[in-house]
Amino acid sequence: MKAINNRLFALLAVVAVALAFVTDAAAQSRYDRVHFNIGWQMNSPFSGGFADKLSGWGMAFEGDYDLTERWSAGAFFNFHTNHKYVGRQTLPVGGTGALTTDQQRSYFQLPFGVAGNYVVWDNAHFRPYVGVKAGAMYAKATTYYGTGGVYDKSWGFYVSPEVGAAIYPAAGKRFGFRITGYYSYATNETATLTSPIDGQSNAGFRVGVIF
Amino acid sequence: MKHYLIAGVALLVLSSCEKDPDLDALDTDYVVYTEFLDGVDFSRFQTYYLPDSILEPGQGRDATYWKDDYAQMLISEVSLLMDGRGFTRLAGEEGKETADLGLQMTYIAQTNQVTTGGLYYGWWDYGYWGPWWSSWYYPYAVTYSYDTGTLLLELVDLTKASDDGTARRLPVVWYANAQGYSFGNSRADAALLLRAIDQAFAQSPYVKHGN
Repeated sequence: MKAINNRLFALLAVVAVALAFVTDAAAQSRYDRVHFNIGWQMNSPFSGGFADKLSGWGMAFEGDYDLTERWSAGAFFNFHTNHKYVGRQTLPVGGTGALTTDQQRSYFQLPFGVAGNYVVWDNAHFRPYVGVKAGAMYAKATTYYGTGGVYDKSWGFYVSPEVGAAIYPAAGKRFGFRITGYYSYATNETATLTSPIDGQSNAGFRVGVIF
Repeated sequence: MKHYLIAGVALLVLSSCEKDPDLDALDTDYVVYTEFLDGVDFSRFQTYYLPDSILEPGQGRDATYWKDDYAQMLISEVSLLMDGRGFTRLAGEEGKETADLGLQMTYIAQTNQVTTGGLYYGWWDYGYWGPWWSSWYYPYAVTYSYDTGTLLLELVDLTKASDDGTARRLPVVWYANAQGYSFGNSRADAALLLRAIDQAFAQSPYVKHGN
């Protein structure tokens, strides 16, 4: 089952990369319909409590093709790291063990896949939109303690609805700014020390440029 | 097209930007792990034998014994805690033969050598030297080392010895492992080991004679 999942995710990765190339090729002939977003990301995981401290260690990248005046589709990937320090405590291990340590936890997420957006109001300077991203996510959970640490990697499915707006200071020009608020959920399962993660929710916002 | 290639390479580089947490936030106390044999009734043990030295395993079967003032301080602490739990320490060869429990103390000093090179996630934030640096790079191999110490406490059940003189395997009914950085300062290292011993007993309230 795991081998099948790995192949499925590999296929998704290939599709995402191929889509990015198609978008790139389209850019040469239909330049105005292709646009890119690069954004800085603030993210906070809020389920599980493994590493739920808000952080700005992330970026988001998206390439979109305008199918119509309001609909666009494309590919995306983003990455983010969240940390959490847990003070010294005694943890039960199994039925007969106990471990006393402090921990520095780190959770790295790298989702990628396809994106779809719908512009709800079209204005020369301000274009609010709703969108959804779907694909696969690579995650790595690490717990550092003592002189070492343990980590666990996993793959999962990813989905993320979002709302935002593109702001164009100069009407009719390609360059603008984009702000986005999002929620995401991934099915990744990881386990380090005594802190298993079974599905990860996130919320955050992005501020970036569109061109 | 050239711009897209540059953007693509930039994306790949950025995708490796997993941010390491601040490991300096971890305290210097030893990580303490304890475990006991399921089902053992510690209240039935009354006496114990504790050697006046700490075993230091060497290469192969060679071993030395740590006996200086710092070693005596650690042994005294263990003895004090065992006595506080209602056990009686026996001394001499006769005591070793009649005690219910044997308590072994072992210290393992280790030097960990690390050789690294190439792309390297250093301790300094590369942003310190300006926002145009994306990561650290060593074009040659770099070697560094750090010292760690591990203290083991093992309680063995001597009441299981056979009367007919045939050899049997000693069951370890309680085990404590304290591990952390060694700072090369005997006084500081001993202070850390003392705290680790206290913690090992604190998280093992079941190790006691009587109710």
